[in-house]
Amino acid sequence: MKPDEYIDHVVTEITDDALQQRLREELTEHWEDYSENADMKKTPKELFGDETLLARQVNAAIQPSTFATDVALSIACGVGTMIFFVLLSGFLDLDLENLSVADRLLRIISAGIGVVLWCGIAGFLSLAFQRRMMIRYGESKRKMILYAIAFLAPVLLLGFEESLGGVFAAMQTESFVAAMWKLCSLLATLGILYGLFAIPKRLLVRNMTRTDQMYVWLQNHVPLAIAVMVTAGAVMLIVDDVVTTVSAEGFQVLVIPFTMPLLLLYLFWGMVSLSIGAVLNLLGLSVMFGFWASVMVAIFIGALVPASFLIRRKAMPLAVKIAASVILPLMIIIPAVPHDVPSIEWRVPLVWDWDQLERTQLNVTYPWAASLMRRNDGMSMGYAAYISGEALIVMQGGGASYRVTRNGVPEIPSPDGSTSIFRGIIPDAYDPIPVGFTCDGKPLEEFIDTHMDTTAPLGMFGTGCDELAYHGKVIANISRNHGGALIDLDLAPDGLLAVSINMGSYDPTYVYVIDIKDVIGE
Amino acid sequence: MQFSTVFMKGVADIIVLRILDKYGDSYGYQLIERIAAESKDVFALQEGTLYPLLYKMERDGLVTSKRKTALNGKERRYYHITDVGTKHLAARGKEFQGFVQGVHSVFDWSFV
Repeated sequence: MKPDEYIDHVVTEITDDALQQRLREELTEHWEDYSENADMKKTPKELFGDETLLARQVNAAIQPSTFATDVALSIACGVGTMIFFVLLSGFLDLDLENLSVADRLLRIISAGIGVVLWCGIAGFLSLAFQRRMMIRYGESKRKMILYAIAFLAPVLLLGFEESLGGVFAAMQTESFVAAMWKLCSLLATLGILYGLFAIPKRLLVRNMTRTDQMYVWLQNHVPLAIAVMVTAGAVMLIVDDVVTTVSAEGFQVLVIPFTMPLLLLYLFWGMVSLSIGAVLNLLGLSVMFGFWASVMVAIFIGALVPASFLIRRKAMPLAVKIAASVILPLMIIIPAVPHDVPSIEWRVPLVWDWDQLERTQLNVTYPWAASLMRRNDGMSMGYAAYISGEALIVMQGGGASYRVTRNGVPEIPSPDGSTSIFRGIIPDAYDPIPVGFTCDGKPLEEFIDTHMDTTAPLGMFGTGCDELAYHGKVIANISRNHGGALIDLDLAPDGLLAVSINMGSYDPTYVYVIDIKDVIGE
Repeated sequence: MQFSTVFMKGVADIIVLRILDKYGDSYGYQLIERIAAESKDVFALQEGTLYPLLYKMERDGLVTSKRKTALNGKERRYYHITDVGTKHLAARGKEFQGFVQGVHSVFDWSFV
């Protein structure tokens, strides 16, 4: 690298504008003096050190010490590591009994990949943490922060009752052995966390230069690693979605570790977007406003901000790189995501369907990630529909209800305001099933919650119905390849029928309005 | 000799202050050269360590800086030790002297 290029690289990473000019001046002059006087000729990198490292040291030197931010960041590192571990251990299944050798091997490989991934992420987070601590604080303060993390992470993650409170409660209500067991589990968690942060510290102290180089290398490659991970996870989810069959179970096991980082990001984004959605609701803004606002924010953070750095030929801060590495792959992949839409052959005129609005709904609440994760999203997106006078009323589980006029235009919000409904959670939320409907020849008297029924497709919710008929006249044939079960029927006196079809208990519900007055008339 | 970063971190500031105190105002390249010469090449302060250190010391009020014309006619940024820096040097220097004497007593080095 030429001296000018090296100095440019360093200077563009300096956060303080005034110092940028000064550092450029001093490095240029120092290089000039060195070139004129020194016998041994080094490259700029050999003389000044790694450019990213130098820039970070200068930035750290001029910034006032932000103890509270560091503690918050450190706790975030600890909690992030723990959440990832809990997610992974919760999803990976190491029950190897009654499995073929191939399936056993697959599960072990999947667990292995997961553990390696977790170690990589946890190792980088702890190395980053220790390095930051070493640059800024003395030994005593570092220890204090370390203890704070080890203590707070389980409490924050599991809640007081599940961690420290659980131990106290067990001491009072359970046997001594049970209480000691809980105490030991908690101490083991603290020990693991402490070890997780203490090992990189040993490495750092013993070999500062090498670990600095390693850290800089890792840091430079983190955005790329995240982009690859997000892309791999997203693509595997899509493939998993397409090939969801019992025979593809092995593939699903392999998918788990790759989708964990995506799930972690998704949980984070879910929290943020739910908060934004709540504010928009309070402001009375339309659903579409929320949707487009979310899209614009994603484009701004994921594409426009990085592009502006590229145009100005300035080095991107790490946060911008990471944001782009998450959002850009998703922006490219999401249009290709297949949507689970019920496959229905209507034998009567279809007046209106909920498909388009359903998609919009999901994207508003969980922008971007929703399209990928929608198979796990329907729980808060169940709908019940009934026809009232001149309009169809659709009640959204956990949210507002919508009044849809017969020309299909949704009016949001409805006069009913916010109505929280969810079949199975709120009894009597649905009207009784109209008399006369049959499902595969059997009278339809109640909708079945087959959630816990192991013979039904995973998480199926509602009554599977290949052939829906009214007084012997076939209304629809519903394919159950990817779900597709009845959860609600509502018949208006003029012959309009609202049919709610659920794609699985964690999947969205679709509402259709069909005209069966000819069937009634016969 | 190359010392570990952690070891150098504790003394780098007083070494720079000492050189500024002894030789008067100096710029970056001069500081590196003078530190190497004064320490008989024992302390090879890295260029990448010097500038962040100088900025931190300036932020803490131990030194000030000003652009001046050097003897060779070129403009350079000279660093100047402040009163606070002088006091800091005296205090930390004394502390370090005690430390070195302690180590000397323990090891009984004849060449110190």
